[in-house]
Amino acid sequence: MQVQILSRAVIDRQTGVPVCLFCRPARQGAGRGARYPAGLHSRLALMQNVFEVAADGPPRSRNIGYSGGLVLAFFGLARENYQWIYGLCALCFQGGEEAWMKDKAGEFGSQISAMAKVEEQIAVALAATASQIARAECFDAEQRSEIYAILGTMKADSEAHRHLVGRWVNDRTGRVTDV
Amino acid sequence: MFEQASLAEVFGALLAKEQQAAKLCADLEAKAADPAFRQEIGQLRREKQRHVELTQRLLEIVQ
Repeated sequence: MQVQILSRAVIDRQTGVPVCLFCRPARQGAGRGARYPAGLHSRLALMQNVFEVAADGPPRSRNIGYSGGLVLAFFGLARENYQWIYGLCALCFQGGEEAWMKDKAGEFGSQISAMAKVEEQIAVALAATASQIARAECFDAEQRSEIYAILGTMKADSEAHRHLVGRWVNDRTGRVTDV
Repeated sequence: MFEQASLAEVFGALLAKEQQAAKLCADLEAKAADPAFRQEIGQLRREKQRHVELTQRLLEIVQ
């Protein structure tokens, strides 16, 4: 089923009806709380600075709103993640938090994707740094040696990290079912 | 002087990225239920923390 992400809810393109993220998979025979298509949650609208941002800690419902017949449950995540918004039908909302806990696939996937991006940025930064150090004339031999040693270690580790995170990205579909 | 300032800026940006990666690792580790995955992410988190320290050392050198 193709879905379209609006500002506050997920709309089924075929029917135009807002869909519940938790029971939608059940309609497809996958069972409530089942894994959703990879990346679906990461495309949900984020409402930055609208509601109180939860402090670090376990996810919990914070604010409840209504839109298109759906209960919108706002689960507070880590501070930098702002608020994730899930469209839930009333039935699913009762067990919403439990279902959310079962379904970390979206969040896990988005965090692993974020990790992969950061690793790419670190690799680029390390490469740029190495060339800049090579041109720099402000270091003595000892300092230059230490800097090269540190950068060498970091580059080697970073390469390994990129492979590791790349593997998680590739097989996260299987991985997150254990979460 | 300009060279050092420029490098300090580069290392500062690198430090921010390493800290971001370490935080992501810590978040993932806290949420992971799969022991094998938790072990992998834990190792990565420790290495990222080490990178943070190494990058801080780079900053010390240029400053």
